[in-house]
Amino acid sequence: MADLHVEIVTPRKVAWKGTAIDVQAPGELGEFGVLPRHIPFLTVLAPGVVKVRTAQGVLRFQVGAGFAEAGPDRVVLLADSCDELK
Amino acid sequence: MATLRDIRTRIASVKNTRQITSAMKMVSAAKLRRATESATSARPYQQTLTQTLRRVAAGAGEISHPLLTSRDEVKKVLVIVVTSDRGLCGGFNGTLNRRTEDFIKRQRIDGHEVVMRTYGRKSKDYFKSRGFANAVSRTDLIRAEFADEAAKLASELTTEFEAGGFDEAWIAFNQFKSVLAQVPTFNRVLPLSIETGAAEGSGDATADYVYEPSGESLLGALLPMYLRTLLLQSFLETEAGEQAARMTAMDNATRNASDLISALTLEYNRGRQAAITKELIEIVSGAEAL
Repeated sequence: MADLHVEIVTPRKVAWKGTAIDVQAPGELGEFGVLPRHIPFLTVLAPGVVKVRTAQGVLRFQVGAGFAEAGPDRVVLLADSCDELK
Repeated sequence: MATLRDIRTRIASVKNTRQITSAMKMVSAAKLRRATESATSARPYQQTLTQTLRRVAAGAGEISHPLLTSRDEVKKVLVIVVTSDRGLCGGFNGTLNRRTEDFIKRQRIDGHEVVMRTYGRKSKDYFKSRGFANAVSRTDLIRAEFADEAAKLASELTTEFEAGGFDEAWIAFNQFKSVLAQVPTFNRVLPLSIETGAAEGSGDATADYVYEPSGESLLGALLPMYLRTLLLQSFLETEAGEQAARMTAMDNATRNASDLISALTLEYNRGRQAAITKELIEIVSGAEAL
């Protein structure tokens, strides 16, 4: 099964980078999920919680406003801020 | 002719100066490392944003957004100049201030009215005595406040621009090319310009994207973000550039002081030797006279 390359980028730094099985993020028009082979997709990101499911488990990030770009095998989230939730 | 005591005092004083300049150099080197780190770590965000924006703009075809539209008649131009608060960093601030002044002159020749905003004490002081006494200025900005300040400035600029307060906005800052080169740069920030041009790389860069919401309102969300990033970048580059310029300037000063000390030491030793020789001659000729 194909992997998703995920990047969460803030103006300060690249907050997280890695491969994931799927990603769930809060869009301005509602929560959306991205699986591998997603169609190219661009949306505005609302502040909220991003869930990244990796082979090692689920990571949760609190993100600020920004936008998300999803492609067939990658997801780039640009957010004002990003903090990992434990 | 300087007496031996005078030379000794001078050597001591130059040594003190050298200690200060070399300490300042060290401090700047440490600060520079942190400043370049934050400048370079901000780059991925800007790059991704720019790429995406280009793609959206290219995909949206005819772009019309208030922040992108050039005014037919430019009457009033806003110039934002970003310098440091402190001096002792070579020509870092002076060059930028002078270039900005030239820029303003050219704008005036074109018949544009110029208003200013300054960041940093050095530009504030420079332009205060040049007819911009009531320019909006901000000093003592620290790195932790950069992002907030950029956001605040971006929203103020947007509001003012849309209200017709000015027709063009330019930002002048020192671009941090390398430790040895800081280049005074003038960028037009409003109206924004996006080179749609051919997307670099393969053809799928222009793949059909699904936009949510529509391409146009997405652009509306992206543009303010882009403006903010541009402003933030100029703050970060200025900070890194300031430390780099100071480091270079202090390195030169330290080296000058060392040269001066060795020249003075030579003169001192020569003088001491001359005094000894003179005393010897006196003793010898005194003994001969007996």
